[in-house]
Amino acid sequence: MSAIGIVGTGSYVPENVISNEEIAAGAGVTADWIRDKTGIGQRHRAADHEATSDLAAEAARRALRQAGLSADQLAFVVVATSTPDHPQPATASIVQHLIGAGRAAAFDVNAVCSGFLYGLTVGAQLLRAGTEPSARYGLVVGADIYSRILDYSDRRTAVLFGDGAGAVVLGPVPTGLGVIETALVGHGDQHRLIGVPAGGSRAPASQRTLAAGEHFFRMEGRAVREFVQEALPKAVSSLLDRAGMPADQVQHFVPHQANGVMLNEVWPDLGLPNASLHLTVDQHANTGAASVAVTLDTVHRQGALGRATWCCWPASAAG
Amino acid sequence: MLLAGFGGGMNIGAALLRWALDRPTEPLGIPAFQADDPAAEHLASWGLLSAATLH
Repeated sequence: MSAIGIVGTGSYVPENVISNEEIAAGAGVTADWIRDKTGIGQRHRAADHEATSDLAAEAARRALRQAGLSADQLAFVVVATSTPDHPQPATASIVQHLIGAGRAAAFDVNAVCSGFLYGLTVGAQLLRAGTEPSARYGLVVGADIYSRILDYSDRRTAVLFGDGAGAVVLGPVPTGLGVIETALVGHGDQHRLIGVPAGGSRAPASQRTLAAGEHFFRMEGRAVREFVQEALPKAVSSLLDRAGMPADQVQHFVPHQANGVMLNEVWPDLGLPNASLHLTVDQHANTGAASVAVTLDTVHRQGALGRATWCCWPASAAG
Repeated sequence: MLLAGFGGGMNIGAALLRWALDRPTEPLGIPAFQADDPAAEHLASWGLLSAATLH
């Protein structure tokens, strides 16, 4: 008997690095203010010719290479993103084509910054369900290009985000390992804390919405911070209870990289005495749905995780 | 229950999520992953817990 776990990781961030100094003045702040408030030192920005699918495909190729698999062995491609190439078709369809996963089903998941973990849960369950006897492997990618929807004069958002993609290949692992427990939680009553107001069915793109800047990402930063500080410890505690796992057994903690200062503040409240907190936010900023997967791949390739590891990945996000 | 989506790559993630979570989760009984890459072997030894909170 086998469980379902991760058999390959990969990530890709664009070559173009943007320093705090380059965006500080436009947002009406200083480079030191950005670092002091967020822990971010730089971020990567996609080139003009790159779309979300391009970043996702490169991360996927790297994950497949590590797993020693070819794309035609994939049963599905799930792309978690809130900055798709287009409203339609699904970005996953384009990624499927780019990597040559001709046998794979393909669909997007939009759960904003928590999307990768929503996709991971769906992907693991699809493999466990075993509806296709030949379906052994699947791909889950988190990818976002927030630089395309940021108002660079808005200090609440302009300084926080970077572009990137992270991927995992899911497949069979020894019983008792792999994806042990997942928890998906929704707080739809708080959905107005973030968003892109225009471009959907509520407010289709128009000259008016463009002039009003409603195509930009907006966030109520203080309220989001308070939400995370309250929700994250509860989510971790609930997850450990469901898994029947003592908190002191968790060795690694790979959170969504929302804000380094905020994560360091909330870290002591999580009650994980033997776990390492892994942050890449100083180098990559908040890469949206990509951030957990990018961080996982980064620290894994640095050799920081090793064998027989118990990881906990919480993502608090907005949608 | 049969869920069917039609159209050019339409997003049926929500429907699939419901379908997937409603499915029984019996193990597949397929051989555990064997990789030549030592890094991938490490991956197969991980136990993972995942919590996603969406608002």
